[in-house]
Amino acid sequence: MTALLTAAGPGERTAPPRPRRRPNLDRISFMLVFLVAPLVLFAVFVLLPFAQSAYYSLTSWGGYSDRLEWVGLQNFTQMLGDEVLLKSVRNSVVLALVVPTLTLTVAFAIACVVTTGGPSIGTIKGLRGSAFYRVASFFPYCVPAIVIGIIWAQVYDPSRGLLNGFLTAIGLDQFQSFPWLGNESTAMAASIFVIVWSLIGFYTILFIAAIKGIPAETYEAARLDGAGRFRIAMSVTLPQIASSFQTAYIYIGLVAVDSFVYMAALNAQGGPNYATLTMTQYLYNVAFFQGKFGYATAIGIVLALVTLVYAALVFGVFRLLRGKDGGDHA
Amino acid sequence: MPRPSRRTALNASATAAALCLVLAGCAGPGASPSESEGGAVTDKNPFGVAANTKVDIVVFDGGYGTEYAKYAAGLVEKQIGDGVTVQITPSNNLSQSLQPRFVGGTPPDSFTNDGADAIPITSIQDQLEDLGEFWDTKNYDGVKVSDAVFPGVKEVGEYDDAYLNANYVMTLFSLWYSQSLFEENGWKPPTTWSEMGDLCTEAKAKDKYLFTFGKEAAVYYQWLVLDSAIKQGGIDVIDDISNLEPGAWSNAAVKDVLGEMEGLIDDGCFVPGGAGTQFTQAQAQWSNDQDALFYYSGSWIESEMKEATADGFEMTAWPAPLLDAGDAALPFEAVQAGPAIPWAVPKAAASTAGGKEFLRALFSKEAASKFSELTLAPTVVKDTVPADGFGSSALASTMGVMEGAGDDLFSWVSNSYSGYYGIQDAPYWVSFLGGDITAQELIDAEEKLSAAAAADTSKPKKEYDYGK
Amino acid sequence: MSATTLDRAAGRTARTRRGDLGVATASHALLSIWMIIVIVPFLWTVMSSFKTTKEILGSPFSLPAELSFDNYVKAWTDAGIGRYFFNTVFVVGSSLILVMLLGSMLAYVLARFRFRGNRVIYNVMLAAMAFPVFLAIVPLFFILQNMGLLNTWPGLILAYVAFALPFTMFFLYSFFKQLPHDVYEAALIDGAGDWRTFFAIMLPMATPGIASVAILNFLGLWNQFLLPVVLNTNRDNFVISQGMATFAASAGYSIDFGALFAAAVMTIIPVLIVYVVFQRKLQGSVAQGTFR
Repeated sequence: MTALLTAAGPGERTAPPRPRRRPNLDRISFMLVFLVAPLVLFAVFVLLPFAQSAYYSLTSWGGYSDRLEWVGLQNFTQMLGDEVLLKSVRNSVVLALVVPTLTLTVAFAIACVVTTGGPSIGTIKGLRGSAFYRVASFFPYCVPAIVIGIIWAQVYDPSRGLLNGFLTAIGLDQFQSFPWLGNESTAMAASIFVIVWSLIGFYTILFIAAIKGIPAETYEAARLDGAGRFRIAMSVTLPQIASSFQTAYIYIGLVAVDSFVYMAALNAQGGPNYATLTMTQYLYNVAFFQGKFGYATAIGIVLALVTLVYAALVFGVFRLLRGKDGGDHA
Repeated sequence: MPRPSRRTALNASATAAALCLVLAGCAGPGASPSESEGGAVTDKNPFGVAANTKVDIVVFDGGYGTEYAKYAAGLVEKQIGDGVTVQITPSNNLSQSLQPRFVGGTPPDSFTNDGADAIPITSIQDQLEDLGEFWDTKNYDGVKVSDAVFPGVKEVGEYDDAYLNANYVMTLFSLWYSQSLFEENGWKPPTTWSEMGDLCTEAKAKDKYLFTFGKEAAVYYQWLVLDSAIKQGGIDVIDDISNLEPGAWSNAAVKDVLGEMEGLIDDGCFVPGGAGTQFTQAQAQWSNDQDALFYYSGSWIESEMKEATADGFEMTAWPAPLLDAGDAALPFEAVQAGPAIPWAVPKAAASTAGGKEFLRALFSKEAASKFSELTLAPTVVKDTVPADGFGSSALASTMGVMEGAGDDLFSWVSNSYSGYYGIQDAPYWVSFLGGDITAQELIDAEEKLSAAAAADTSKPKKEYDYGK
Repeated sequence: MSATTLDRAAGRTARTRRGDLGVATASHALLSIWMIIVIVPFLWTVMSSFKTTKEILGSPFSLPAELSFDNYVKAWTDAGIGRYFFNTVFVVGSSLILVMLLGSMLAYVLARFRFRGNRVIYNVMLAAMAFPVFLAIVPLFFILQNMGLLNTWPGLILAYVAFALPFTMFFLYSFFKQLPHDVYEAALIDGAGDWRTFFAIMLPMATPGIASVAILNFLGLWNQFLLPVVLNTNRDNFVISQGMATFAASAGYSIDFGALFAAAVMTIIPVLIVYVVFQRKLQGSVAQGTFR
């Protein structure tokens, strides 16, 4: 698993160059199917549309007609003065920073407890009876994101939802009709909670598998050195699965920056004062409800740039951290 | 184990075929199928719907449902025969489902551009048929459609001298309350905002609230505020706002009414938590739990909440309060009522004749009566609602309140500027009603949105004159 | 994890045992809270799915007066949840098989063959993952329409596959890169061609990795929303994500919250059952994906 998730760069040589073979029909057909076919599919269905969208972003296309008026970079300059857009950028950035950190921290903690949180004497093993936690944690993964959003929107309902019902039942009456999704200061936190809730289980399983790949000797050595559980987790387990961590971080980041389905189910209009509006939501609204597809596409391009910067940052940070620790053994 | 040679040939040809398809697929928008050949024009078939046409109708599936459309579809099939069938497709996200069809050149033959997700009219203005011919055609009762409906209905759908929308449902926009509840508690529905404040105090004594709101329907209270401001300050108030005049939102009447509403919000007269509550659940707090005394809505509210209305709830309409009765431009009885639920026929539809024929069926007595029977709401077609309102207190009071307003009926929501320009002011109203922003901040936000719409040169502008 | 080294610092044993107990108790407590947070919303959804609208509008904790399946029937017929579910299984299943096949093929070639443009292809595909799907949907709509694949199963499946390809390739690339070279050499010596080498030797060795990526892909494809919304507009052919979104909106308008809960339950139960039945195997294959 760790090797699987290693973000190995291309071009690393693993074998000495083979003697050249004259391309025969077998090799040609092989290349056609293995290389050309997927690439053609990718080019036609992904690259070509993205390229065409770049064109749309330079027009003022309304989205419903075939009238396309060229406006150059006007859409992009318009963004600078668009307050709602700036709010959505802020929200997307918050999500990109918070969701992966929270999700992976909790997932890592649970994974550690399940795999190595058991008695500190004897065999390295996990907490007794933790198989149940492992199995049940995965449940949210089985549910489509839209349904998770629908369910939690009901849970958060101020008057009839589960959360307020529970809080008032234990005596916290100030939550009698508290609008978790309607209050500017809690809307984002409540939404983040839902997203993190749905993602933790899967990454816990992933980390458990990764940790199980660490040789027991490494732990024995650390224990003999007198390291406690927490120390072991931070100095032994974490570095060993660093590359899995990094890849998971980027992947969750991509999901978080998007978050479209979750936010659409929880707060379709963008939340109080646009507190939960993500960039993807905004560009969807601008396109369909304001009839400004050209502008929406331009926003999409900016979003892509934001995402690329995020990925680059994560790569950079991890490289720095791993450089200090000397890398992992994956 | 796959034998390389056979597989090779297969794959080579498959790839070649794929490449051919790819090259063919590089074209962009603009390819639209041509309209089907028209049929003969007869008295029975005035638009000439061709034989065996599959008429494609998209209906907004909201408070009124789609049963009435299916009924009208049956009428069309009976009337035209000739293998013509009418298919009704419900939808509650018009923009998302119809945008691809408009761009792809395959829009439906007719559709209701309604709901929170409706298509902004400016986006499709030049793609809709001018229904002038439709209005001049005789309906199933042998009466010209424009004569069969209430006065003013035809003009509501006019944009730049073209009749693009045919609005179907006569909708009253007002406050609603339960007469039985008020009688039980000895309350009188108020006529001024200060009386509203007093009523709020009385309601609180009984552990109730004045109003409730839900996050998707927060703008209903914008309608209440503007109705009140219009009655107080005159129809110019809404004209200025709709024409995107700078400073229109800072009009004295608007400011004062908003101030009153802000006062009520601060006094806790709204059921708490509305900002996080789904709108029909919030409405149920009024109709089912009776936690709130009033709710502002269009007259679809009875049909919409029929599954969640308390027993004995006598739903009654009530006009918006005034600031100062002595100084008002319109009397208290004035209410906003107008034709809502716009039907349109796209120019590029496969069968515009089929679309118009469907509308012809709708705008006739039989379909219109059926609509009112199913939804307990009046259509724009005259003489289709019996005096007892099919046994519905809401319907009866709707007719009563509209008659009470007489010539002081005004209308603006049915063809509002925000629907036209696609203005997104809803989140600000959620924040305002939730007590998170002040009235002044709300006014500033609305001014900004109007200014942005005014500055957008890529969209046409409409001259609003509601007083006409 | 099966080493049997004993800790010989005897003096610490007693204190350690108490410390262990403390940690175990705390861990169990926290994990139990976590379990409650995970499971209770589901239980509540199931309970609410048996209530009538009026009961739901009442208290969140009230038990349904009677366990009637009306809501389920309504969700199945009116909302067509059953049909949407089968549609989704078909689309996601086909897409998954196809993308795993094409993705592993592509990853294999990129990882083990040197040729000009190899690096460019890899980087372009990576970068493409950063672009929001929204950008592609309108142009894709036209491309499919011109190919005659709009609103067809093949069209939708191909779109699903194309967008899941970079991710699959990326994950399997490093996997294929690290397969031992000697096995490959042996196959060459035995006279196996490229096809045979891949299918008979390399692919089986990569199975654990393939399993893990397949599971990851499954979630992505299952949750795919924008693509079907724009490319799959025939109501009968809806997949679960768009079907539920539409139903949520219309249930809101028709105040049928009971049916909404029932629909939610119906989308969850089948996958949950499959998971519970296969979870052992899942653990196994995911753990097997580990390399020493």
